[in-house]
Amino acid sequence: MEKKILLIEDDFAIIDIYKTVLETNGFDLEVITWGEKALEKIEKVKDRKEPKSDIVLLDLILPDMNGIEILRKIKGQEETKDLPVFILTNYDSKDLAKEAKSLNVEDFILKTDCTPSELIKLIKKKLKLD
Amino acid sequence: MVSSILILPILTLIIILFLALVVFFADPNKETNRVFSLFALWAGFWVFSVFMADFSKNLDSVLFWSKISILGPAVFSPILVYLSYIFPIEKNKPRNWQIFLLFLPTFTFISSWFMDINIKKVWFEPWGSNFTPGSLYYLLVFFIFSYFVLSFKNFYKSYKFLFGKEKKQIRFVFFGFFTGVIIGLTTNAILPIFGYAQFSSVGPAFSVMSLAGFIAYSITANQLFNIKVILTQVFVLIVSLILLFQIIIAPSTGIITLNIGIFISFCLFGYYLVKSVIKEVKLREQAENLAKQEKELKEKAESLVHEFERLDTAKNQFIMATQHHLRTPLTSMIGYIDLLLSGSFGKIPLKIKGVLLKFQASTSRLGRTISEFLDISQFQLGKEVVSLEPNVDITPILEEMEQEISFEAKNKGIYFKVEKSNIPLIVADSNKLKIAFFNIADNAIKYTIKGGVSVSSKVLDNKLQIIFKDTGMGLTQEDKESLFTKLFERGAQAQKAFATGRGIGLYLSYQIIKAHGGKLWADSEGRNKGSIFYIDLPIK
Repeated sequence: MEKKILLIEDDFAIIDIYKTVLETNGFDLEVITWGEKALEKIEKVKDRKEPKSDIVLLDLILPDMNGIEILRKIKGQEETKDLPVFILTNYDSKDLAKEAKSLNVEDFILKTDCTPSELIKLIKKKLKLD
Repeated sequence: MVSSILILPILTLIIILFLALVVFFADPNKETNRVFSLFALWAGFWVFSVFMADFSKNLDSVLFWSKISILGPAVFSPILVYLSYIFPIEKNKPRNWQIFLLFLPTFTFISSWFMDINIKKVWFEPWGSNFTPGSLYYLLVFFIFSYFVLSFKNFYKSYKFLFGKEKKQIRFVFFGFFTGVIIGLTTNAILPIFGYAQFSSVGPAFSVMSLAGFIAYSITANQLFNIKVILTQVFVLIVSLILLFQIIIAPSTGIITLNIGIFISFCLFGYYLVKSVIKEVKLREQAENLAKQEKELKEKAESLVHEFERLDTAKNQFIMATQHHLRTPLTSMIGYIDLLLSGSFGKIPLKIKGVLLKFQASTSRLGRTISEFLDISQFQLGKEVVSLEPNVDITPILEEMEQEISFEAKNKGIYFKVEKSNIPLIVADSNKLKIAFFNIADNAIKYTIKGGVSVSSKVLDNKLQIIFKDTGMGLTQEDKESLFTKLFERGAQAQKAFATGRGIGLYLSYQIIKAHGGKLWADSEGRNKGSIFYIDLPIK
């Protein structure tokens, strides 16, 4: 069965890149570009109206909110708190990185420091594929 | 023995003349002082003429002095108005023609004082003399009243627009007017109602004396309008007046001598008392001023801190926004190059692959540069840049460095070797340490034309030492001193460093190693003799 990846990201070039590489590697990708929509999605997962993803790739600077809020929502409810979340951002802030790590994220990655191929490696490692 | 009702006008006269002298000699160069003295002298003349009219024994004499007594107010009223224009500051000093106008009624009074339209008739009453006023006399009362109102209005105008010492000075003049009116009302309106009419002749004299006293004080007292000082001065003045009075009414020469002795001793005592009170008040004012200054300085410092914090926040936000905006398009470039190279868009010709690899090297360098600039700015702002984690294996960093830098070295025709065995785990921030290692390696390659760079490591009592040895252009003593820090401490040098790129990487590496509790330094035997860079990192 295809592994489900939830990408929360607003930059269309970056969405295009990740979509290409993830789908090439056989992942089932769902993209959300809006913070509010992401919160709704997590609510639905909690109520079992929608299936749970296997991995969440979360951007921090979204048009309507800070990704940390979404992270708090995910980690704050029993049904979703074990979801592996990778922060993928270009906002190199020590404070945000610290906060994200305290909320138990898999990793805090700067997008410029991680090529799509490297991202695939990280995901496969986490999902124990290969 | 002199009758006490006679004493009062004499005393008033003495005091008024005394005020005229004191104020004049306090500063004869000042117009204010001269004008006031003139005012007081004419007031004194008036008190004297009223006194003479009251106590003359024959009617001719009474008539003469009664008539002459209009001259005092006729002169001192316009002088008071003039004073109200020049005191406490000369705001709009009247021109000569205005002064002439001001004194025009006075000339009328002077030229007609002897006429019957002034005083019609005089006669004796049990308590002194009395008279029937003429039309000139009524004109005079109107004249005095309007001139006093005019001067009061002038003082009030100045009062409203002045502040500080000058405001306090005018307040004293107001006290003078106020007490003058109170005294006048008491002696000439209230007391006569109860049948004590004998004070009505000295009442106006008292009023003028009180007004003159307050104005004199206001002119002469320099900035000290402290209530404590004033009360002390008033106390000394009253007691000395009483003592003076005692001398005049003393029944025998012996007692007079005794009273003079007491009076002189008290005057001395009073002088020192007032002096000491003034000193104390001055000291306290100084202390208050100091406290005020301190408070102001503190407030200034606080506002500077706030301003600094605001600028710091603005600067930080700018840096963070800039790096974010630079990284976003760079991510697309890095991403698409990676997709192209990994064949997501189909197989690519070898030639183009070579170009893409160079493209990739540039983008990853750009990414590193952005991080470096961010880190440098954070170090310079004194922010925490490095987050240390325990049990970090730095072997992968050395491997990655070997792989990437070898590529550059090969292009340049030199070698780059990394020896990486038996490296212990250390406490480190692997991302930042990687930046430091890459920079030192980059720097070594940059300044080496032939030969190459070799990296080795050894463990020295609880320290891991990494050694970068090159066969490059070497370092002079001066280079060694300024390599890591001084370039950035000197403004002009720092600009040079930014322009050429030299120094940034080493500065950053130095800061990163320092934040690890380690040490970075360089050694060289001189120009063209190669150099060795040492990194000491603590093992915990």
